[in-house]
Amino acid sequence: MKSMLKLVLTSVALMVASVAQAGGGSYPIPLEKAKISVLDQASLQRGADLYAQYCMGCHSMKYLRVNRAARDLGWSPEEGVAHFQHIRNGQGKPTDMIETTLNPETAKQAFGSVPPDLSLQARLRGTDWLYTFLRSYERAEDGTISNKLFPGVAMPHILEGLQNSLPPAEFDAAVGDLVNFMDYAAEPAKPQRLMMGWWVLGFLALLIMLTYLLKKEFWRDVK
Amino acid sequence: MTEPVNQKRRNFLVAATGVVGAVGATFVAVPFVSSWKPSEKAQAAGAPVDVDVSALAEGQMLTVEWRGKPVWVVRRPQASVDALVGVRDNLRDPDSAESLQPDFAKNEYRSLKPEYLVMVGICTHLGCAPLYKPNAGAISADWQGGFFCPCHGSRFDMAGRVYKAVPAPTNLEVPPYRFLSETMVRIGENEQGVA
Amino acid sequence: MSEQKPVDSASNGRLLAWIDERFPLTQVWNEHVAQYYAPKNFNFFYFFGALALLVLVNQLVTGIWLTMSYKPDAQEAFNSVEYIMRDVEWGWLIRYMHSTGASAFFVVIYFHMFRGIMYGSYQKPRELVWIIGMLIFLVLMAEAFMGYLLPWGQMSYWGAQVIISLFGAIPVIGEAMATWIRGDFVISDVTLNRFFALHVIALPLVLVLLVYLHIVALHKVGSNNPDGIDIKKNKNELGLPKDGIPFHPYYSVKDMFGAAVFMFFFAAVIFFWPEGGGFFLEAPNFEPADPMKTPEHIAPVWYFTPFYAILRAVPDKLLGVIAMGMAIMFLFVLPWLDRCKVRSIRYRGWQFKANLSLFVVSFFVLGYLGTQAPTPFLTLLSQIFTFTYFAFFVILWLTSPMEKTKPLPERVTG
Repeated sequence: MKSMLKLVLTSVALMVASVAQAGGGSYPIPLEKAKISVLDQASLQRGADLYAQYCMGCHSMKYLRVNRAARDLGWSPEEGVAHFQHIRNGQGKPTDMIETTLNPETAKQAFGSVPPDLSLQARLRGTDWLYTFLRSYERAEDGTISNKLFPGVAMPHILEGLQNSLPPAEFDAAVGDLVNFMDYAAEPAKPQRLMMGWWVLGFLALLIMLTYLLKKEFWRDVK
Repeated sequence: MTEPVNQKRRNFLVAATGVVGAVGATFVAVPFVSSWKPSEKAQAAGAPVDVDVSALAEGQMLTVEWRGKPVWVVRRPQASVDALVGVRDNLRDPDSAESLQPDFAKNEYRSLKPEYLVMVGICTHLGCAPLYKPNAGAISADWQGGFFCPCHGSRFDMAGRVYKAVPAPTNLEVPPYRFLSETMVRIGENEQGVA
Repeated sequence: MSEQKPVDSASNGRLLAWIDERFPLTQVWNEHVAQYYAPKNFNFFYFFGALALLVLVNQLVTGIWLTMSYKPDAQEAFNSVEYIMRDVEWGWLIRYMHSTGASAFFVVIYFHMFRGIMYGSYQKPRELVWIIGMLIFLVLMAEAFMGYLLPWGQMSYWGAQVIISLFGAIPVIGEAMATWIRGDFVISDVTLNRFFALHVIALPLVLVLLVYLHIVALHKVGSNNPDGIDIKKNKNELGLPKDGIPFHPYYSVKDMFGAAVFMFFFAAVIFFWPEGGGFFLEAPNFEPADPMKTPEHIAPVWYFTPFYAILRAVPDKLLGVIAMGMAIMFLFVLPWLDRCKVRSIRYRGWQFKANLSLFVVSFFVLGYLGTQAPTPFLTLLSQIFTFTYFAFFVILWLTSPMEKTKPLPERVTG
């Protein structure tokens, strides 16, 4: 029945719409959209360097292999080691995972909790959350630091120096690069997936066309 | 069925769909077949191994593991290298024509530098581990020094070349390797890149 | 003997004859494919049976491949999934095909079931086709539930925790039963291992067997159609139904077209939207299971949410579990609840149309509510729609004998 089909499809559309809206969740402040793309290799490279400089001291990416990241970011394995493992004084191998040198016990004493691994944070929290979080630190007049999105977060305002040295727009772009790299790290196959997708869909469109003509041709028999 | 069936058009469409469908099926098969190749993790575990040979005395051998296989590094005295020419006539494949080695090791001493022999320590017969017997007369009166496989008695010279009339068919395999410095050897990687 | 060399087709014929003497290959082919006469008026909704078969094959093949790299071990499970996603060549694609396939399976099955209700396909003589189909649905839910534990993420763990705890609602034996299912006092490595065994071996075997029976039963009685009339009543001089066409080639080419369109949407999700907005892969599942920390908001995967909403709508734990079970059980007895003489919605009275519309709306609203954290207002809503969900069956039973139906056509229409 046409009307039934319409009913079903409208319901589906309404559901998807309402759920998509509800997807925002309940955060203290609204999330800002991170306008990033894992297909932007230069951005990933900048993000990787920011990660290595500001985050890697405390946060590992234990599911990301150095040579894999290097390959996807357009670096040689040795360059990868140089970019990610400077704090190890060149002792790292290209096949290593990206680990931090921070001792978990020391971290617990210093921050009260072990800094989480960053391999999958982009898929756990979402890139918009990360983008908003990293830009929501504030220093009050008495010098105390807080985060509007995540009150009481144990992590210090590690990017404060960067924030103070850059115009706001450039700082936002830098955070975008960092989040972009985290998005890549959460799913290293993502660039390949996005690029391949169009070819697959194109091929299937051809198959749809052919099978449609084939069906039409045979069904001329059916009166 | 008033209008006649255009059999040609029908056959063409069947064939075209069949071909495109077969191409599609091949595309789908690729990921499933490729997923059986060594994963990144396996490749990482099989990554090149660096060996420091500075402490190796003349005539000594050390063994390292590369891709789960024993790899020997032997520091040969000049005398052993010179003796290699003398056993030629008793060898099955003296020029390593049918044996496995990188091109740089397809020579009399089967190595990059005559002094250092790098070799996979697995007998080419049935995969036993041959023994290092450098001293003359260690196995038999005419033994010139080399490797002896205890399983089925295969004999190899000081360059891992197989003697005639033993079960092993070819010379011992030489893995790809290169010298990072005078005394650092990287096993599993040529000048051209990773094996 | 100076016979010519047999041409290829003749040697094929000989091979076939050789096989046919030993195995009824030609007979089976004709009975179920080449000479299976299906009504010629199948519409959009009739693609979903074939598509369900396609998705089943996809799940079996990708599932087998995933077991080659997955480790059913509480310490290793989460890591092994990331290993598949990152280290195994094309592992990400195989895993997305499986995770998206799970959701696609339910999309297809829900359409397929809706079709059956809309056109009265469960009515005599197809009651067994329907009941076997419902068994497939039940096994599929168990299969999906157990599969969801395997990635060993937070949502896997706590979702299983909540569902298994439901058994605790059963009086007297409940708690002991929940412990027995887990094999431990909490969900643990033991639970993961047995769920793995059931998910990859036991339930797929049952599923394949049931699908086989479903098709055998269907081909015994013949397919229904959007007009709900019996095509076997109108036969030509050869004894073939006038409104029937051989499944092959007509429906095989049509289903190929349907499969191509389906694969287009399927691939679009896999390549551009694998998380499905958090419904196909839920965000909390990107964190390893932690028995000490519950995620802020637990919701089952979308295909369970209508039933989950019914469970939560009832304030009593035991009654909630019973209501959820009844929501599925009522579907089983549809062939006997529906007492109308006419099958298809096209010729049925306004009561059925209104009733079915309300049922569809209830199902979707409950599905939505099951994804949301409960608030007093939403709980009230889910109570209302739980009521209308069950009302469908009661109203159907009451009104179906007295519906004012339209006269049925002699032959199938468009």
